[in-house]
Amino acid sequence: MTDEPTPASGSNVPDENGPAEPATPASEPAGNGGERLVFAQSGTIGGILPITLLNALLNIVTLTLWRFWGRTRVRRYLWSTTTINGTPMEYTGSGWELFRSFIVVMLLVFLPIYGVFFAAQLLLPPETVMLVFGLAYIPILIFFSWLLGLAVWIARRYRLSRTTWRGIRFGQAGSANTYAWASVGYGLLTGITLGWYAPAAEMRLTRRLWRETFYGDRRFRILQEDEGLAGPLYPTFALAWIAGVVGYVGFIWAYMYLLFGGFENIGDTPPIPDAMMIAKIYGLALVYVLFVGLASLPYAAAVMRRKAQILGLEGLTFRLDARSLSLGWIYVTNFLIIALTLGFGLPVAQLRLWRYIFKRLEAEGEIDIEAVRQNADRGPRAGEGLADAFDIGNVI
Amino acid sequence: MSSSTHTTARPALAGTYADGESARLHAVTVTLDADTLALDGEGIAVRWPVPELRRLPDRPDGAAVISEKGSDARLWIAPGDRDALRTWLPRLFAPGRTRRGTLILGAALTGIAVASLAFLFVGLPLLSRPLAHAVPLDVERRMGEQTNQMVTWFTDECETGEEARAALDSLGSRLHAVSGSPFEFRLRIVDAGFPNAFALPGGRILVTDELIDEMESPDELAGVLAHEAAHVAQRHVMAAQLREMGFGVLLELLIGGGSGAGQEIARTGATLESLRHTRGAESEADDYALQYLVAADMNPHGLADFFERMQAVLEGETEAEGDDAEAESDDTGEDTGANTDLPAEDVSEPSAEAGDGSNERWLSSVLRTRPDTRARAERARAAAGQIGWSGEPALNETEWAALQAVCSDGPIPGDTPLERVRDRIGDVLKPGENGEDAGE
Repeated sequence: MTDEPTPASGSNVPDENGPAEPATPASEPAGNGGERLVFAQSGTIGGILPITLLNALLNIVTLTLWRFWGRTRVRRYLWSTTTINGTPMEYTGSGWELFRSFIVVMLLVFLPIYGVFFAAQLLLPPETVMLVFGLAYIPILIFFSWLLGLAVWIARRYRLSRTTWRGIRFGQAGSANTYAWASVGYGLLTGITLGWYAPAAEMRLTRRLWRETFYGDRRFRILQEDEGLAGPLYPTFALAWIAGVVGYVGFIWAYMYLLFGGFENIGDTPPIPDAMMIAKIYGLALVYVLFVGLASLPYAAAVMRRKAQILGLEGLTFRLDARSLSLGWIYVTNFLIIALTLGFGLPVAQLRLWRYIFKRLEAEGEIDIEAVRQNADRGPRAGEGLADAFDIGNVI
Repeated sequence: MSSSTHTTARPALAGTYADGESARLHAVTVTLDADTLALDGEGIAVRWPVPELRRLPDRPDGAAVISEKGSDARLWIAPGDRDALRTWLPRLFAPGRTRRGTLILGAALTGIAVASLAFLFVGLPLLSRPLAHAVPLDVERRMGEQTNQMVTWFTDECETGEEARAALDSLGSRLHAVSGSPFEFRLRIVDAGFPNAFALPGGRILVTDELIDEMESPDELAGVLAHEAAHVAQRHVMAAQLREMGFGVLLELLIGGGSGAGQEIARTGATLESLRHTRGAESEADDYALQYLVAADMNPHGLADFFERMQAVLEGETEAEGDDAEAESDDTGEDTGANTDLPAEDVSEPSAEAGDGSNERWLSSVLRTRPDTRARAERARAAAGQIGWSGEPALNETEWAALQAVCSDGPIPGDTPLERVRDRIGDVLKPGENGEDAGE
């Protein structure tokens, strides 16, 4: 496949407010020309609740072995309630694929790693083993973050290849290894710059993924190449960053004050905290998290908007109307749903976020859908075991 | 198929078809002709053999979705025509088909889960003893050195004088001579802030300074050491280590790296269960300890004396238990008595999950020690009553005094863990730079 898509209609970047047209089930559009796309999401809490309850029950009795099939059902529901021009998306993955790949990864990746660590402990001279592990700390960290990058890439390829619309698969090309190293490198840069590289890292990784993403034989493209990819994110990021630092300093300050009962006593042996003080410290931590969380919302919303904004497919551009307050509401309530149900309510929370995205997603411009051919790549045969092993598999 | 006999009379159904080759949607009419589903439309003439059909989950609007096995093509039949299609393809639409599938799958997975549990809680403990005996001595020795090294990093070393060293060595070799242990016993006194004694793999036995302070005679120490020696000789320590490793690996295989509530519950349950299994080993070690004491001509009442003293300490503390538990969650807290069940495994992997260590210790002491110590004291006392002994104490008074003096001045100055880390790194990176690892 060529790097640049054929239609030369990619210059209409500006995001005018195209009013959403009514959802017309355009099953048989007339001409060969373009078609506009209208997204709709009809999922309901009532619809996901039976799946959620059954999953909770089966996860308990199977000691969570059901989770692969449970997640598949949730995805099937989310996908199938999302329509584009009246035709639902379809999730074609299976629980078995997820299960199999998890087992394979555990046996072929994590068991050997465990074995290497164990053998190293056993074979190295006792006096040096701690030292060796100490010196190997950074390389080991890099290795695992590389593995994490692989996991993200592989899982995304799997999910896309199991997503169809009108019988045509999505897909992802490119190299998992390249992506993983990029994510390691960006991670290091983020660390060196005390976090200030994070928006650029986020957008660059997004770009890497989406410019290798296909619907059928059509490749998505990035409308904004190198310059200014993450530029618009920096005002909101600065707010989040400063709030993070201020919040952290304030938290430590208040913590010390609480712990020692006043600043003049700092340096004394701290008294053994009683229940009241532990409650106060937890309260303090909650205030801290809320403060930083709220200050980060504009950034989170801006990232969502920006990701949609830089994306193009044929003649289409995208717009996602994510706003701090509405997104914050979703995050806070989702957090409560998950916490109060001990995690079993996760599918409900996922539905709410998913619905938020697709209700606010708009496509402008047109695409000649009828000309789109099937994606030759059927995708990986197994699922996203590596991501599961890192516990990041349960994303939608 | 019975439906094939009177197909011709059927009216056609309207459907929407995507061929799996392009994203174009086609309006088609659907008819059933013998055992073939026929889809006809503008430029479309598709024939799907009925046995090759597969049904996909309905669309949320109720439309049925049909495809051919292995095909990307899709046929959507609107909700209004769904009933008609059902009469055409009764097998594909058989009620309870998916529910039965869920049931079978759920049952199979539950079966796997139960079998895994059975293996974890029954098979693994049973296997761990013979497996432990199969571990080459050299491997166990190395593991012991490893563990010892880690303990050294996290506890304070005490100045052990020559006389104390000699007393410890003599106790060790006397017990070794009678135990038939494949490992020599190497005893060491450490300053850990709580009274305890524990055996590491490969024959190292650590006694905390606080434990010696609690004791009133060298015979009690001999009793405790005999108990730990039995753990080593019977390779309980190795078995426990294997169990722990097996547990970790299998549990992670089962529940994954997940952090959901269900997974946390499973983990906690498993930890509690693995703690419980050491009880059999404890009483076995008590029995062997008595045999060793007799064979080495040491006071067989030493162990019972010690248990009774601990029991008295525990009972004295019962009222203060609540505070005790909390104080224990920070390492500097006074922590007398709560850990004196001489657990062989408690500290055998001291570095792992250091964060939860204190809670686990507290839990394990609550779960195991409290009801147990008295019974163990009684058993040891009854058994010792039937045994004779020359009356010679395990150590003479000078030796005992030398042992008691160890750590009385506190740990060796300049020997905090952080200082040791700095020294170690300095040793290797000659110019004595403080590497970034010193912060660990």
